[in-house]
Amino acid sequence: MKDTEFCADHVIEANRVRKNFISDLIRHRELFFFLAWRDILVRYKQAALGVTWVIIRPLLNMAVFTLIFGKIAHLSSFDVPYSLFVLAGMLPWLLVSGALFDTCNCLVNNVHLINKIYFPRVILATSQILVHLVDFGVNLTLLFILMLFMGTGDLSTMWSLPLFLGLAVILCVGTSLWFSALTVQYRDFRFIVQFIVQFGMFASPVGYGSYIIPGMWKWVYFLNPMVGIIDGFRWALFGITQPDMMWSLLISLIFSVVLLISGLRYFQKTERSFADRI
Amino acid sequence: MAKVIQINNLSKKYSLYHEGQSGYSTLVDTVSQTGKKWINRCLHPLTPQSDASASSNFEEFWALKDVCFDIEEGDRVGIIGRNGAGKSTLLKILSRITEPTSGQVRVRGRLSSLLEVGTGFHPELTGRENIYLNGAILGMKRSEIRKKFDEIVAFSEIEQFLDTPVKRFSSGMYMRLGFSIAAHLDSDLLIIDEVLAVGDAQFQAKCFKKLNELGTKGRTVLFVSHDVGSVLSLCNRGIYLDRGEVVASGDIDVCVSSYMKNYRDRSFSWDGDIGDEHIRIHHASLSVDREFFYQNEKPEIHIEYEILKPHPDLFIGIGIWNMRYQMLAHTQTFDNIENHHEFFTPGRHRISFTLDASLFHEGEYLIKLHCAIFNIKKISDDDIVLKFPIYAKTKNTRFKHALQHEGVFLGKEWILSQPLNTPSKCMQKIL
Repeated sequence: MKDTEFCADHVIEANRVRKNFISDLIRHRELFFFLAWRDILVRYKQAALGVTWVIIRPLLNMAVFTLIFGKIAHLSSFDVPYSLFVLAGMLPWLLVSGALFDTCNCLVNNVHLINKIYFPRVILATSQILVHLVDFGVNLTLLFILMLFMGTGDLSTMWSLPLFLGLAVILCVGTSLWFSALTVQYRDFRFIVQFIVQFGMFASPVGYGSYIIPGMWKWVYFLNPMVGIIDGFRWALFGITQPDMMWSLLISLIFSVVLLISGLRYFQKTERSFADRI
Repeated sequence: MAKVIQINNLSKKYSLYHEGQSGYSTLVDTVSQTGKKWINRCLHPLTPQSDASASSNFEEFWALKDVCFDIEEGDRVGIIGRNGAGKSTLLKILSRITEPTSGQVRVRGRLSSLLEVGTGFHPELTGRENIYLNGAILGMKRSEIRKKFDEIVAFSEIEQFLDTPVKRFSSGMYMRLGFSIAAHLDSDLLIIDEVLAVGDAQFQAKCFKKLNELGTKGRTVLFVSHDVGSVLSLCNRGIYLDRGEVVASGDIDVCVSSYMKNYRDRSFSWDGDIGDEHIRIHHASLSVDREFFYQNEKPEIHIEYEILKPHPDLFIGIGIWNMRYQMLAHTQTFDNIENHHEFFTPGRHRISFTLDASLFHEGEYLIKLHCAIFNIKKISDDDIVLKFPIYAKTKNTRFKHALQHEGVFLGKEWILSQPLNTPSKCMQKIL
C-alpha cells in the first residue's frame, strides 16, 4: 500500500501535531497579529468611551488602594506618592490577571473557529496577551505622565523595565497555556480563575509593599510569582528596593519559565483533542 | 497524473458517553471521583479495583474505519453518503481539525478547507476588516489578500456595504462575502463541505460556476454533499462512504449509482402477478446499469405479460409522472395501430418501448403502467410504478436553479433568424 515514490509535503497521522509545531507556528504568524488586531478593534469599537475604559479601571483601583493602605493604614511608600506607588504595582497585575482572565475563556469562546478550521491553537491563547499589552502600554503612558507631573521616578534604573515586562509576559504565556487548555478539559475551571484573580490582587503587593510581610511568611509569600515582578517594576520605576528582592525575583523567574515550558507541553498534549472535546 | 492525496488505513474513534455524562467533565467531578477511588482503595486494600463501572459509561464508535484511497491532481472528488457516514469526520481529518486515531494521510501541495462560509467573521467588524481577518484565518497572506481584495469585493457584490459592520448584513450578503473570500484562496487542494446549501438561488448558481472553473483549472477539489445532482455535475470521481467505510470509489457514476441503490427508493423493475381473466402482467423494468439516467440516454422499458383470453379493446399504456403526481406524458399500445393486434394474441409476450430521456428536465420521475379494456374496465392502474431520476451530464450551471422543475423539456432549438437590417428607432435607443 505504501508508495515510496510519493513525496508528501505534509503527513497527517496520530500524534503528528507536535513534530511540526514550530513550522506551523511560523506559517501562521500573521494570523497571530490578525486575531490580536480583531480583539483590539472590537474592544475599542464596542465601548462608548473607548480608550477611557482602559484608564478608568486602574485609576479607580489606585484611588481605593491609596485611601485604604495609604491614608487609613498609613503604610510607607518610600518617599514616592502613594498613588503612584500603587499604580506601578497595578500595571503588571492588570496585565497578568487580565490576560489570565481572557485567555482561559478564549478557546471556548472561539469554538466556531476550532471546529471549522485548522491553525495552531496556541495562537488563539496567546494573541489575547497582545491585547492586554496594548492596554498596558496605554496605562504606562499614563503613569509616565503622572510621574513627570509629580516629579518622581528614577532614571538610573529605568533601563530594566523591559526585562521585568518580559518576565511578566513569560508568566502570562505560561498561565494562559495552562488555563486555556484546562478550561477546555474542565469547564468549571473558569470559576477557579475568577477566584485566583480576585484573591491574587491581595496576595500580591499591589496596594502595599512586600516589606510588610514578616520573617518566615516571606518565603511562602515569594512563591507568588507576581511578588517578584511587582517589586521589580517598583525598583525599575522608582529605585525602591524591597528586602530579599533578589530571591523573590529569582523564584518568580524560575516559576514563570517552568510554567511556560510545562504549559506548552500540556497544551500540545491536549491540543489534538480540542475539536473533539469542546 | 500525479497523486496529491494518499490515504492509508485511516480510522477515527470517538467515545460516546452515556447516562447523562457529557463529553467534557468538570473538575469537581474528576476530583471527587478520584477521591472516592482512593478512599475505596484505602478502606478495602485487598479487593481488586475494577474499572468496569467506568468503562460501561461510554461506548466506542468508529466514525471512520480503514479508509484507503488516492486522489490525483485535477480530480474533482465528490464524497457522498448518508448522515453519519463519516464524511464530515473525513474532511475534519483532512483539514487537520481533528487527529485520526490511526492511519495516515499524505498530502502534497497547499490544502485549504472550507467547511463553513464566513468562518470567524466578527459581527462588529466591517466587511472590509472581515475580508482581511477571514482571509488570514483561511491561511492567506496579507499581501495576497490585498492583491485579491478588489476581485473578492466584485464577486461578492457588496461594494456599497464594505464599511458596514457585518452584523447589519443580511444572511445572504454574509454568505456571499464568505464564499467570495474562500473562492479566491490560492490553494492546490480545496476541500468544500455542503456550504452551498445556503444563499439565494442566483448566488448558488454563481458559486457552482466558480467551482466548476476551479476544477477545470486543474485544481483538485474535494466536495461533500447530499445533493446527488450537484455532485454529478461538479465531480468526475467519487467516494461513497457508509458507516465509516468506503463502499465504492472511482468513477462518479458508479459511486452515485451504488449510493442510490442502497438508500433511495428507486425501483427500476417490478415483478409480480397482476391482472384479471384476460391478462396477467408479470414483469416491468427499465434497462439501465446505473441507478439514474443522463439526459442524452434512451432507456428501454420492458413489459412481460400473458394473454389468457384475448379482447379487442385490451391495451397497455405508460405514463410519466413527476413527483407531485402530475402526468407529463403518456403513450399506449394502441398508438401503434399497425401492430396493436399482435400484442394481444394468446400466450406470453414481451414488449418494449424506448424512452427518450432528453425529453425531460433534470429531476425525479415515476413511470406508471396501466392496463385496461377500453371503455369497459380498468385492469391495473396504480399498481405498477417505476421510479427513476434523470440528471444532466453537463449543465448550464448559471441558470441551474431557475429551471429545476421536473417537466417536459421542449428542447434547445433556439435559432437566431435573419438579423434585422434596419433596426427600428426604438431598437436604436436600446443599442
